[in-house]
Amino acid sequence: MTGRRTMNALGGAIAAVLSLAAVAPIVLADAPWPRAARDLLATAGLEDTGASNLVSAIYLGYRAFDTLGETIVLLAALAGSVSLIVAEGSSRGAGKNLADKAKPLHTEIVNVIAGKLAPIVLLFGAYVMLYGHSSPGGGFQGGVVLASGIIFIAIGRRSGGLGRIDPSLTAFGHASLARIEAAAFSGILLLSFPGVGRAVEAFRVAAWNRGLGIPAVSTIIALNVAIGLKVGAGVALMCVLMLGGNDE
Amino acid sequence: MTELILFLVCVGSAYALLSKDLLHGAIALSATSVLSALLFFILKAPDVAITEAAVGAGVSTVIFVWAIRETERKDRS
Amino acid sequence: MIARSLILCLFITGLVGLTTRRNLVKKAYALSIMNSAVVLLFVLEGSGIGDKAPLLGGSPGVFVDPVPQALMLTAIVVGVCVSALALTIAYRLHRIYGTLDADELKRLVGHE
Repeated sequence: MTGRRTMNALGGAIAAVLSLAAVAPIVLADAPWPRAARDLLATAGLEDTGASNLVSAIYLGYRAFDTLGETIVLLAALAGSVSLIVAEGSSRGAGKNLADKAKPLHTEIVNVIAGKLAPIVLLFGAYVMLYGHSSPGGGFQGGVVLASGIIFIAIGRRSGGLGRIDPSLTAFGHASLARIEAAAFSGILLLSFPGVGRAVEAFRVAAWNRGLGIPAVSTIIALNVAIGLKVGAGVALMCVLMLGGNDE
Repeated sequence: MTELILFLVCVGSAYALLSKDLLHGAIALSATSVLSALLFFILKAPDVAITEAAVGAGVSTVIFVWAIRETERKDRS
Repeated sequence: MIARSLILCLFITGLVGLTTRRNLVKKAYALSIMNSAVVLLFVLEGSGIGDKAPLLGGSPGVFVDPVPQALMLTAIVVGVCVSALALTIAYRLHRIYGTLDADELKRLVGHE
């Protein structure tokens, strides 16, 4: 036992020294940060994409295909997690105290806070999602905040807070969340077709929009909404399954 | 200010890795996420701050607490 | 320089935790810590060339670099996916073998 512990500590020390030698020169080197990208974006970002929030302009305008790839990564990871959570398996070690695990959640404080906070958080998430083009925020941020709101609803439902007041608020079933996610992902795929039509220069979508007579920023807003719904529904689905996984 | 917050983040992370109680570690990580979000706001990155606050303090804490509740709370090694 | 040394320290903390901690949940903590160290480094470096958030309009000033911020947004979201997948795998292993200890798991898996 002690031998293994010293081996462990030795391995840790070796890992620390080696990684220090590899990473420290990169982290501590005093190279000047390049300014070219910032200067280009400050002058051309609004013209190219229509978004005055330059971070949104980058990840939904210039790098929209990258963002499509990221949503696919997210979809794959969440699908893997969800299938691992719900899959039935043999249980040799766990399950001895399933009954008393969920008890600490059932307090009045949690009931009240989850019930009162959920609508406010959902509203904030919708704001962050819809105004990502002109203020800090965007699809990913708004989606995660929306997911937090749905988690609050799920906690309130588990402890009987919100569900007791208005049963319709507990309509966020697993199936509807999965449907929202699938629909939003199809929306993202559809929205990327104009970019495919314009081949490599995906950010010329703004010019394309202008040619159609709609504001240049509309693609960014639509992508924000689709990504927000997709991320929100996916993360919320996983967390709701986690919270309610041992109910039965 | 930046250095102070980074120092607190380092301390919180080290505590999360060293504590015997995994739940205490999850709470410490959640606190370091909130501190990082504050730091991102100071560093003029409001987008990253919103994401870090929602993801680090919200979603990943839910995931960690779920995993601890479903498995075991003490680190026995 | 102090700030960068502290971020380096944070990254090394995560890496040493990943190699020496045997509890799988602790390993997931370590991954999350390394992720946040990288995010902090990029945002800190990118903020060095300006004094204003990258939003057009508003007060005069020079922008910070928005490129690392956009990249780190991606990194944070992927990081939470990594945590989620790692922890669900740890949960399945615990369901099957009844332990979270990596060495114990290696022994048990080797026996089958």
